[in-house]
Amino acid sequence: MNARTVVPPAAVIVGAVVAWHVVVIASGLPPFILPSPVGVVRSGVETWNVLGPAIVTTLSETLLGLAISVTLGVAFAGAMDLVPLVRRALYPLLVASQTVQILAIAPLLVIWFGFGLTPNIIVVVLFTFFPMTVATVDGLTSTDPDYIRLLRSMGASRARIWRTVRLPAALPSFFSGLRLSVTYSVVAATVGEWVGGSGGLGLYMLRSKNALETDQVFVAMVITTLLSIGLFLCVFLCERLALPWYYTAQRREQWDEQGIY
Amino acid sequence: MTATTTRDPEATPRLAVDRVSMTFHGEAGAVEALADVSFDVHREEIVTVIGPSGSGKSTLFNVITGLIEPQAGAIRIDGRELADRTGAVAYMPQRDLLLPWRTVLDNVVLPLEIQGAGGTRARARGRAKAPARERAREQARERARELMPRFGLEGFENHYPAVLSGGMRQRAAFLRTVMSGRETLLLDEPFGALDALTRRRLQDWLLELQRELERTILFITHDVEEAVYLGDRVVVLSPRPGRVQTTMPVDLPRPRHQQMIGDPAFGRHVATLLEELGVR
Ligand SMILES: Nc1ncnc2c1ncn2[C@@H]1O[C@H](COP(=O)(O)OP(=O)(O)O)[C@@H](O)[C@H]1O
Ligand SMILES: [Mg+2]
Repeated sequence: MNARTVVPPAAVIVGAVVAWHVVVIASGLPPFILPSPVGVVRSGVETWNVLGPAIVTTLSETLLGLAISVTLGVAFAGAMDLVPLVRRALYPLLVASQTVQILAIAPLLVIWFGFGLTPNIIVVVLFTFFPMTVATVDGLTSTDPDYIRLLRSMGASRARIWRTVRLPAALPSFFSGLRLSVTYSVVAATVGEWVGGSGGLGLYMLRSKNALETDQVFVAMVITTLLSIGLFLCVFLCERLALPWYYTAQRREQWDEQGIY
Repeated sequence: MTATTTRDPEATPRLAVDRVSMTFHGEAGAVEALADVSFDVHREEIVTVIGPSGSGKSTLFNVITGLIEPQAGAIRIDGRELADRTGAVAYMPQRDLLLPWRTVLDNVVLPLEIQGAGGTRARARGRAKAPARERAREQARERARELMPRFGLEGFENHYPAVLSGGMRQRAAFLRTVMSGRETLLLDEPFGALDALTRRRLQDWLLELQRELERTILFITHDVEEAVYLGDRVVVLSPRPGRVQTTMPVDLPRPRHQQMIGDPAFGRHVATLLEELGVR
């Protein structure tokens, strides 16, 4: 990340906010239809005593859900990779599970698990488990078989080959899955909260909408977005630290071949 | 190193390929890759293997390393037929196959890491104790660091393979092969993907290195001149299914140097090989 990648999107955002403000002033629309950016910030500050705990709730659900997804995803991916029968049995079901209406399931989860964090954590898992598992499985199966043959020729055991080749080779794909998952995860948690009416930013949003406090709906939207971007950046940073070789290789592709041997 | 003249013909060959036949049964039917292939490689000899593509050269290496078991025949290393040959000889595949997530140093010590902990051969002998293993690991890295300059990799120990040029990657892959400590090295077209000039430099570098290392080398190439230039003997494989069509001793003095390519004697060897390969 450098000025070339940060400045253009930042400029667009600043421009959009300014344009938004100008439109609100010029059009004279009432705040319950379109609040101004300044109004949104003000109502965020005013409702902070509700907002703060809501953020904590949503973030806890998100992080717990993500942790479960990553653990389950890696475990499932490992099992599917090690046992072909498991792979054949589960892969189609996994894909099918993505077509299930989560909006319909969320209220049921409240009936089954009560109000509280649990149903919302499950919604996060439902949203993020699939990309985690599929990306990790794909990473594991995409290992170049020539590497495996080389290690076998050195007399390496199966476990050794897993540790030395399969796992590292799967990491870039694993991180792609994780990046996708964290992008969904905050929205997933708020969807659960909204549908179940059980707390967090989702409930804040629901109440604000019902009370026609449009500026507060915007506050929730902005905060959801910021949380998502924050999590995404965390993953991006971890990835950079964990896979220095991967970024070296990408840079290399941009270089011209040198005439040295 | 004049193995052809000083060798004791009765001595046990370092590597014996004895009547090996290999047929693949795939979806497209059976492919007979090797048919009754026999030859010996003696201590400190360089034997080059040449044959048209598809004649089973890589398959032959896979059989020798123990990656695949032939339908018929045997591989003997120092006169012994092993139940599990993997790890008994060092194999340098056609592609360098450096692990992109390991630095050059970590790549070249890989065979020793595997031998030291968790290798099938090590397990047969009983696992080393952890402190001994740690010491062996440090020694391996020290030895690799010492060899880096000789392999033109000095200063690149902690770089990822992605930043190396083709020739450097090949040398790193060769250092990894040497680091295994095995007496017999199988090299599968190691210079095949390099430009002509780099290839000649590496040929000379390999011969010079071999005078110090004194290993036994089986070297696959599809380049007739390379086969003559490097080899004490050349094994010619026929088109599929691969059989040993002929084995040609190379009567050229060592050390070899690139000017020899212009000598009439060199030309005669090349002509004989071309004739065997059906090129006129
Ligand atoms: N695993 C395999 N399954 C089926 N056929 C194979 C396999 N490996 C090699 N072959 C076939 O065996 C023949 C010899 O291949 P190979 O040993 O790679 O030849 P070379 O290295 O001399 O070019 C080819 O026809 C190839 O298609
Ligand atoms: Mg080949």
